[in-house]
Amino acid sequence: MNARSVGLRQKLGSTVLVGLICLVACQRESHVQITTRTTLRGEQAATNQALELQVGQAMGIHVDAVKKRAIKPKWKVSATSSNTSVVSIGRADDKNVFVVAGVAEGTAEIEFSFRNRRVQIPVTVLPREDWEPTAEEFAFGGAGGWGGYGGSL
Amino acid sequence: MNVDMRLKRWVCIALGCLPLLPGCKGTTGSGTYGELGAGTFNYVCINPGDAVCSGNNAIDSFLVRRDLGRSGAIPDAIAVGSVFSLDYEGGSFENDIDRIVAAHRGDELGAEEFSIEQPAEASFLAVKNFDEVEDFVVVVAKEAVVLKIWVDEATPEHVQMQVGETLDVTVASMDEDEHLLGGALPYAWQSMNARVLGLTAPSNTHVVDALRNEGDVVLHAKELGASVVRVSSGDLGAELFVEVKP
Repeated sequence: MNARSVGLRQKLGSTVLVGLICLVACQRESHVQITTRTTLRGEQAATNQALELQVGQAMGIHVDAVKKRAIKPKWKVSATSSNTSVVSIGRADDKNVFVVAGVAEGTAEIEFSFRNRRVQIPVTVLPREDWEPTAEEFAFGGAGGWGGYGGSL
Repeated sequence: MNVDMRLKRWVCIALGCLPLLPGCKGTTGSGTYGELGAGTFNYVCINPGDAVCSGNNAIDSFLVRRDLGRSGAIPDAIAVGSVFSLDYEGGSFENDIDRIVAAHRGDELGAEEFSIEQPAEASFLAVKNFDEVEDFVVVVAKEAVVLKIWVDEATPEHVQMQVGETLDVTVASMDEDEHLLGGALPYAWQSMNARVLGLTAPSNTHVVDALRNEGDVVLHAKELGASVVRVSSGDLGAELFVEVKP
């Protein structure tokens, strides 16, 4: 092996290494910034890393693409749910506002994509609270005057 | 968002709704703003048992305004298990496939017919082009714990009528805080003495001794005596003693 081929191999190796580092780094740099567009109700939480809501609830979110810690307001973001029977997401306007809805109890991921980049955000849909009816059975026969009119009814 | 909606939103901001943005939530003259402020949702009665659409003004007008709101606005709360519908105005929500769906499919009885089976805050989405959401609104469901029969804006236990006279009455469900609830429950009315007192639905002149699924009922004093009018829905019930005088 001569000096030239060693040099080439080293160059190739370092190029691949730089490429791999860049690939990993670029993927990690690309994420989304989520801001809520509707008042958070009980059981709802929204961060850049996760969303949480209750069955039957919905929340409006604005999603910005982020690259190298800079928001890219003009980048159009798309969104899909990994399991639409648990979480649905629909675009609300052209300015990256989406409505996330809790369809059924469970977990799913929403994938936001922009400029060939993809970011997965886990969504937890919590069950509605346990409930038992509390109303007591109405006792008929208490209407005023009922007893006094027994003979005429 | 069309020009009309933009105008409404700016008027809303100018009137001091700024802290409630972005939805600028509130009620318009004929509906309730969606959470995103893109349009308005209108409450629609789909059964005459819904106190929201009572036509005989028997329920206390203050409570109606406080709890059920203006025409078209979504009530503060609807009764668990009651049925109702919604429609939507705003933006580009006009083509044939646009519809309103519940976030939780279990809150849907059929096409744009809704019922919430337990106390909850349920969201309803105005969907267009299958996967775009124009806006959404929240409907609160509370348990109805009492029924009341309303007569002339009061809930008497006893009324007097004269033979041949008619009287408009309305049943309404209330929650544990005595707030009126929207939504139609399945009601069963009965006059316990059909010889003395008959019933009709407002849209019908045929006098009967029992009616189903009506909120407004007209009492007909037929002859001297007394009767009790009973209305029930599941475990809930209410009754009114009626004395018929000459």
